[in-house]
Amino acid sequence: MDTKPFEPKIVAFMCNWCTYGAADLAGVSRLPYPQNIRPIRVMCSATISPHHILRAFQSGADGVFIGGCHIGDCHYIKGNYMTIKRVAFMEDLLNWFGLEGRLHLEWISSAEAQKFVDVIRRFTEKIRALGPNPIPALLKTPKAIWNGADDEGHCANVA
Amino acid sequence: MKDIVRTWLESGRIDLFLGYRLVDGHPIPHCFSKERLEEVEQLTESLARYPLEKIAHQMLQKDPAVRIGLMARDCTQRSVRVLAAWNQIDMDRIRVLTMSCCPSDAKDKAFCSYLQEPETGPVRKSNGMPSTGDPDDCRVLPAEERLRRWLYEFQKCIKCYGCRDICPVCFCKDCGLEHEDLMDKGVVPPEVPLFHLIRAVHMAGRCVDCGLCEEACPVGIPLRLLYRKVNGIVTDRFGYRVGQTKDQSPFNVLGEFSPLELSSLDD
Repeated sequence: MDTKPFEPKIVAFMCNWCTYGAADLAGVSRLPYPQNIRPIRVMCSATISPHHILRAFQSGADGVFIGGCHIGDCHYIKGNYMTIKRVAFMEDLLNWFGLEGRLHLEWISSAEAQKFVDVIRRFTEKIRALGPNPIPALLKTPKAIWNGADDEGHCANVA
Repeated sequence: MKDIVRTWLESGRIDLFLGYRLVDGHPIPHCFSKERLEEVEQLTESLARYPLEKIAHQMLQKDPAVRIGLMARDCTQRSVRVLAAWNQIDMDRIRVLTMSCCPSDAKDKAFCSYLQEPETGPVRKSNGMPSTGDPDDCRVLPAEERLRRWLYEFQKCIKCYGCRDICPVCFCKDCGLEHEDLMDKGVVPPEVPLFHLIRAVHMAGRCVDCGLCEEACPVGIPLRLLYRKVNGIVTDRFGYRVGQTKDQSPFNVLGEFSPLELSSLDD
């Protein structure tokens, strides 16, 4: 039996101008934080489309974290206006769909290394409590999903 | 109705009229023109639905000067407004002729044959999502069960792209669902839930709730319910109702800051 504690995989999209700076600062300040995040540097949090978030979950990420500049501080003036709209929408959609609490957005400026560390720590703990992303497991057990033909007579194409 | 169409065509207010004609007992879309006015006699109103506005959109792409009349249900009118909001058609080139039609969340009251009885057989009941009703009804199920049921529905997909092709407001020239970097090629079913959720995201703030996608789906995925939910989120979050304004949806354009709050990690 696998007795290792569950280590979540978290994809972290971080804005080049703020959150990535905070992560850098956390590094040079030698602040420890969980190693569960897989950082991806993006030029602006607004470049993260719902495609990327969904792709991460499709590929088995247990959580997706997005870090951007505070409102008003965006390097591209209004980029994070779009980010919050998208994330608010995606949170509602994923909650309804059955992936609750696995997406998180936080504004972290490049000076807030301590905030970055705290947020990553708390988010990792939250995902650890939620458990692994259920999608890959559900897709690996087609029989649990398929009971045969549906009421319209369409048959399952179980591999 | 026939008289109106004839008058419009004769007076030159429109060059072409898109409506339905009975062919061998089947109402099929037909383009009526001034040159063949006698065909107007065969114009018919029926329950059949085709995205006439999509045909009009394609005709306008070829010849922007043509003036087109449309036999329009409520959903047709909504999608004409959406297409105009996204600069896909010129409202001056379109004339709509209203016909009676169907109930939908996107308007207050109507009468139609669509959506009468929920079509849920035993397998659908135990494995799938209901195709009618409120999208939030499924909240009674635990999260994992909702996920499992949606994956069941999506795994039926044969990737025919029927939902996209019939959709009156799908007008992009390059489709993300066919992009090699975004979607695996040559695999059936497509990657679920990615494939359907991406389409759902694109429908947010754009879907006119006509239900053609669900009618077109050969395997009966409750797509209308999914798109209703995403549209509902846009309405709740941004106060935008599709097809009722000339503006583009605030979810899809940068625009001004919406006073949304970050969700807390403690929830």
